[in-house]
Amino acid sequence: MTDALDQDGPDGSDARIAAAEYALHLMPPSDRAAFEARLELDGALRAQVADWHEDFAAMAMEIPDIDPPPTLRARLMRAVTPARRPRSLGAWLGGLFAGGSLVAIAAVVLIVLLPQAVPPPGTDVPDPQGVDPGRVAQTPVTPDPAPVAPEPPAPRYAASLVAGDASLVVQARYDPVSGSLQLDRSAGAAPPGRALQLWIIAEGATVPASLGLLPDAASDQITISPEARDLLLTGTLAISDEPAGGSPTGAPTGTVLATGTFDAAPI
Amino acid sequence: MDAVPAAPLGCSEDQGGRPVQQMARDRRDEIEALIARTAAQDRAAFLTLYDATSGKLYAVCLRVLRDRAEAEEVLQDVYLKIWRHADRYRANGLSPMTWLITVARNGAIDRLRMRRSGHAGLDQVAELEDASPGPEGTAIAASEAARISACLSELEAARADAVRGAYLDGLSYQDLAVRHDVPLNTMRTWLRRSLLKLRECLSR
Repeated sequence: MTDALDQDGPDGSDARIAAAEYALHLMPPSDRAAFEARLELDGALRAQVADWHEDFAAMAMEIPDIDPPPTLRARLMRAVTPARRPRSLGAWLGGLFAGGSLVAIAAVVLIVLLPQAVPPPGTDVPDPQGVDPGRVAQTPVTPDPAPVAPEPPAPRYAASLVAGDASLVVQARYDPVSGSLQLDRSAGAAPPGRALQLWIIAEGATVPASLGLLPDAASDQITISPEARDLLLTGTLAISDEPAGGSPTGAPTGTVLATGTFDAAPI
Repeated sequence: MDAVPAAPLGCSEDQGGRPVQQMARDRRDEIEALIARTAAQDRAAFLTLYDATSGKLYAVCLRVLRDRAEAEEVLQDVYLKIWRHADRYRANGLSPMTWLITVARNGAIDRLRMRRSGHAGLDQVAELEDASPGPEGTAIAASEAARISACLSELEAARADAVRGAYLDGLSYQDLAVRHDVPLNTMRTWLRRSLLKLRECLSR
């Protein structure tokens, strides 16, 4: 089927066709890879591909613009605003893209930001302030919880879990010392007869562990079991849609609606 | 069709009826400047670039995917790629809208093919980077649009339609053969001949 491409015609017509087929994505993956290897070495061929791109793009210029939903702009703005974490957003995104996983790419949107660090849509983006050594420094080790209440108050950490279409928005505030997790749901609810279940996927783990059902109340606290307490800050939180009473299998059975991770620096 | 929605770009001084070519060139320069500032991780410029181009890029993704939710996901991915890889724009020599449209279309077609095969897509930006053209790859969008239309109209209607289907709808040879109710090899021959004719016409 590559007949026309294997023998270069006297007028170079086959290279022209191949360049067009490449630009149009008409080549099967194996031919595409072989063509890309040729492109590396052949500047004239690269120029032909670019000419086709340029000419074909003119067709796209003729189709009417369609405005994307405004929520997308807000999500992008959040995604490019540096989170206050020690590793850079860019490095994090880089890792995700290198992984090539669509799930991971989708998770980019869900990057956790403290609500106060996110300007409302339409306002100017503030100058980068993400690199503030004071904020970024890891929390000092807090002594074991004693019968006496610790003072100063234990640090708390924030995470946002936001569905791709913002149909579910949950802010989480976590006190790793007491294991208390405050959950504030500002949008979304379980469908009738269903439940929302909260999960933690520990760093490096592939299997989520249940943290229990999301409370019915829009604002409520749950207490994280001592075994899971250390996993939360470095893992990924997720909310899935489950049968009433929660997943019968111990693993998510329904759609994962939203994910998020805790910011590295305390509130 | 306007290359770019006029809104936030500084086109106000263009109201006095400057030639269309000049306005197209100005818009092109502004998009190019926004890409350059995006490469320097200027978030305000990135959002201005988004405002100026997302209508076109969303239309391109939607046309290929025919599904709003998927098109939106792909568009988001596309703009994050642009944010991360805007520095590659200079090296590829494409005109700025062509580069943006190509990144968007590649993203949408990857998603389309993945939807069918269940295979993961590749990062298409790397491929764009390789597609460095000669200096001839830098024409003005407005005249390009007229040129391709004129050249497509020199083809038989069904064949022009197949070229549009391959580009705008992201159809494969197989899809095109089904759509036009001809054997696969016939479609391949058709389209290749059409592409050669198109190139001849475009080079005139």
